[in-house]
Amino acid sequence: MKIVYYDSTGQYLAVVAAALHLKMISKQESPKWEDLKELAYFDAQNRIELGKLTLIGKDELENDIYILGSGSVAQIIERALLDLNKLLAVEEEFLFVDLTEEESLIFKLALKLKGYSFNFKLVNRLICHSLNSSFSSLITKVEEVEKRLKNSEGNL
Amino acid sequence: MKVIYNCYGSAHSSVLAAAIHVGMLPEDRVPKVEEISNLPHYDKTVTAEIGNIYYFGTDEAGIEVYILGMKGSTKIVKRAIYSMLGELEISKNELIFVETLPYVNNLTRIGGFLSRRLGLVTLGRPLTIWGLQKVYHQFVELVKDVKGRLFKLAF
Repeated sequence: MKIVYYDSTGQYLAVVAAALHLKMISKQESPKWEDLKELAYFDAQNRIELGKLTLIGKDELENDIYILGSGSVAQIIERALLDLNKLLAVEEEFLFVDLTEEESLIFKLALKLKGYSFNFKLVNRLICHSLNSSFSSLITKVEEVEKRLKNSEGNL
Repeated sequence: MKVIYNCYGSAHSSVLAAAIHVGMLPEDRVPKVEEISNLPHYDKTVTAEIGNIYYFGTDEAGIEVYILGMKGSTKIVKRAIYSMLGELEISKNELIFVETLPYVNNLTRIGGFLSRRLGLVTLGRPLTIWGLQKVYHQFVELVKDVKGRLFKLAF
């Protein structure tokens, strides 16, 4: 199966969720900005193209883990890709995990400010604060995916 | 190979082009209001359905024709689709996207907004049709061009 974690930018929530899934960061404590910066594609505007599926790695069940920045058309991309799979009779199953609902007002504000090259230190702090606030929800989402994957593995 | 006509909401211009392509609408005259309004999906797609790929029909060469709405983010949605094809090692040539939005005039835009966004169907739908009738020959030319390209690709 191919798992796609997506948010509007493809640089923050999706990266953290993929890292949680691949056990690259611990679930025990909220990560610090410096730890997150170690992750490939985190806060990497120049390396992420909106719409492009980026493979991060394989989990222990050999599922491919991707991240995706969906801009403002998250649902449209998900619907189009799932429909396309059907009409091309693709056997490989895709699971899309929508993280855009975890994007808080503070997060959106920080992204706007970042776009205006506004005091990066402050903006990064706002983003980090927002990510930490969403951290437990992200863990829950990733655990739900893992549970689903284990169940489908067990059904085979 | 499959052809996907794409526009903003898969409700007007992509429907018109797909209908011409599969022979539901004539190439030699401007269709009447009812001929357009009775087309499947015409002025029907709601916001929550944008992104669904709808089968429209099969042309005389056996090519399947679809419609798809991408809102104003054509580039991002297409990139996502091609990116997925790449990951699945499926040739990009399996799909041909044809953008119909550039052929839409302000009448159709306003009509579409009134009908789809504000729910003023009685007012909006006739405007969308009137707008499309005014530029109908451009859609016919577009479809002819697409068929010409498909013919070249096939041989």
